[in-house]
Amino acid sequence: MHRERFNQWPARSQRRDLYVHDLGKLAAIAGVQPFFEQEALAGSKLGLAWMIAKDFDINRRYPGASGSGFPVRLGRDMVAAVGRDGLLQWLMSP
Amino acid sequence: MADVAVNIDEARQAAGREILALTDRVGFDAYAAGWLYDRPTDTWRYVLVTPMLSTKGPAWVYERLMRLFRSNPLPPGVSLLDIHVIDPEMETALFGPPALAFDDREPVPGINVMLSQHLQFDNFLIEDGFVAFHRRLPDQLRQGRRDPGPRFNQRVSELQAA
Repeated sequence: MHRERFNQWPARSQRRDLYVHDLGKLAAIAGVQPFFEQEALAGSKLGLAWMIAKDFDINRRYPGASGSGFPVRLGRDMVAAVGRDGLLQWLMSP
Repeated sequence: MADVAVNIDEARQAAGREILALTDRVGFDAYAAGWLYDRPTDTWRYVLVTPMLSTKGPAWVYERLMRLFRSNPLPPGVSLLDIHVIDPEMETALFGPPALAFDDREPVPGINVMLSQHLQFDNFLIEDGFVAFHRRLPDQLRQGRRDPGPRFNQRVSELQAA
């Protein structure tokens, strides 16, 4: 919000690009991609966490065509990336 | 599918070929690989398809890919964040079931382009764009393949140690 100088979150009709679940696109708008690129290149825990989280797909919470459901390892890694490995903490930091 | 101009330059094609060759060399054994282009945001993503995403998990896969690309840098203009790994189930949901086999290496180098418009699979939303596959193996060539995990793991470690 600071970067875009918002004093309120814009309506969907004004900024449709912000109303997506695509973390890669949102990170580009927020200007944080270079930071995560450096973290990933350095092999840090946060860099790995971002590599995992950027592939987040909300539709995968439903069973797939094969009826196999959400892959367990994918779910565990996503939760760890956001929690234990620090993405949420980074997001909430000043 | 509609009128979407396809524009993938030689450098990007060569980069895609190089990434696929590198991952092959370490036994990643991608079922499919290609560039995905989203016109509204003018962004490119390099997508690798592997069952290891579900069997080993993304942390296991990405940790090794990151080590690989640290010791063997990606081609110029390609960022580590451009690399996306998806599993075959998601690939089918995105692009339909694979039917015809093609591989950039044989019989002659080349890509196979699929146009896309309003293709929505959430994270991989392509409102207007295309995917340029370097490889897409059909189902029958995927069945019964051995688990690439142990070989991939060993080769990345060897390459890093070298």
